[in-house]
Amino acid sequence: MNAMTTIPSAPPMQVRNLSKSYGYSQILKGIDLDVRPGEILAIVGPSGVGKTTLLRSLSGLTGLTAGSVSIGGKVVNGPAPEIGLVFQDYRGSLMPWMRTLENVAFPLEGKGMPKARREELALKCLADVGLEAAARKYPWELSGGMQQRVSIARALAYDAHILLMDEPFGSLDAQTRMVLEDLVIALQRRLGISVILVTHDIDEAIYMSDRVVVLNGRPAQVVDLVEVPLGREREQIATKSDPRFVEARNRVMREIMGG
Amino acid sequence: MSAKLLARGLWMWWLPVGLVTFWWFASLGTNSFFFPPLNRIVSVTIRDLSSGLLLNHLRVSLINMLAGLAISGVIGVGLGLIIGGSRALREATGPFLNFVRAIPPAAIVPIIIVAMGVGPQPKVFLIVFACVWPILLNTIDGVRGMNPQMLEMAQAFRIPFGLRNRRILFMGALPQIMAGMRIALAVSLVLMVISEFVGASAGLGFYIREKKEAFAMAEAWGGTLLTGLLGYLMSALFLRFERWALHWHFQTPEPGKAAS
Repeated sequence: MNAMTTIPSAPPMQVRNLSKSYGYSQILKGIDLDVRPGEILAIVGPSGVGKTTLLRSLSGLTGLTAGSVSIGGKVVNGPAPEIGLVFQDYRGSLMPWMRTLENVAFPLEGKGMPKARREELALKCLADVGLEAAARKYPWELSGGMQQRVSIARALAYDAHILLMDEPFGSLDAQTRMVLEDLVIALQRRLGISVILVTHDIDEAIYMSDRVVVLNGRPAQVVDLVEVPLGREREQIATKSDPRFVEARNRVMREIMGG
Repeated sequence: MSAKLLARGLWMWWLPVGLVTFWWFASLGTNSFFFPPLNRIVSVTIRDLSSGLLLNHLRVSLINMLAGLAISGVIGVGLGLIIGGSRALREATGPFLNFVRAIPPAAIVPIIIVAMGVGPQPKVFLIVFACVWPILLNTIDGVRGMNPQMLEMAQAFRIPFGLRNRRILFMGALPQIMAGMRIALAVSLVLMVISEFVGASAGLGFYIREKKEAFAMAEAWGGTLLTGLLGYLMSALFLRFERWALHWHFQTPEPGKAAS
């Protein structure tokens, strides 16, 4: 894999003092984060701590109780055009009545782009994830891994510079997961996007990311921010045998399990 | 014709064909006034059909029925998408809708005739009044039953309101909408006939009543059977249409292509 990366196209994202409560129950407290342009940031924590809540707050689907999210210096109050969301359940968000190409082009249709141009762009994004042959198929004719790739292609087509992924590979088998992990890394390297990845899989978090945010506590706070010292080249076998990988992984594990 | 197709045809049709044949032969030669023999019913019906008389009535009824269905569809789906897509509207209109839909349409036929007079308008109005409910309520349910992730996707990608309604809400609710339309089809047939019993000068319902009042029982039966046949044909046609429109829902991949 080519270690050269494109100049990041993504704007920086800043999270300041983000808190989120549902009624009297406070889920997140005082979260501060800086997402660097072009980085892959993983968010991990014990089950139910509020990782998804945090991601939803960043994506604008859920309002904040306190604090702010800014992209490129501007505070955002709802879903922002720079952000592309990839859900865990691809079956829930891909529309079965549209062919794959139409699904990928749909956000562009929402932007008012004319048909020829948006289909051209959608086809390009499908090619980016290796699925241009599936353009005329329906999502339910594709395997789970392929559907998730279509989901990613759709977020890219939307011209998202910051990809928010909520346990995107959770529903997939281990081997497909590895293929998609490498795909996302390759996309980041090539397109210069930022990726914020929520995952319960610590190995995946460390393998893919430049930094790992560890959430814990009730209400959840950032208990650690781990710089992953593995360089920009990642490979499933070599990287995961690297002692620095093991070290980082153990550190994160201790923080999650230790509570 | 292949043997398989023939076998399947026999399997589907043995009972109805058997019943009709039984009726035919069992009623042959009967002198009953109210239950004339089937062969006579068939012959007078064919007579009135070929003279063009019944065809004309059929045309009038059909036009009213289709107009009523079309209007019900537009109102039911249009309103249903808007109400279904908004929790506030759903809760606000719920009790009202449930009350009005419970009014039996047949009960208001006399009032409507008096209020709207004779002619096609009251008939179409009655059909719409009866048929809009299954379509409207099914549309609302269809939208409510959609996967919330689909709607969140629309929110995350900032899909504008009209596009969201047309391409997401409408399509997602379509299986349920079709179910509502199937019900509406059956209901429209009933209302079509009933609305023509009073204050009509043409139509199948009018024909049946007229023949009954002239004590032409065979003709009255013929009209009734014809109405049933019409209903059956329309249902069969609609079913094929539904299968085509909802092919993605039944998820039958095109033969020869496997999921990879």
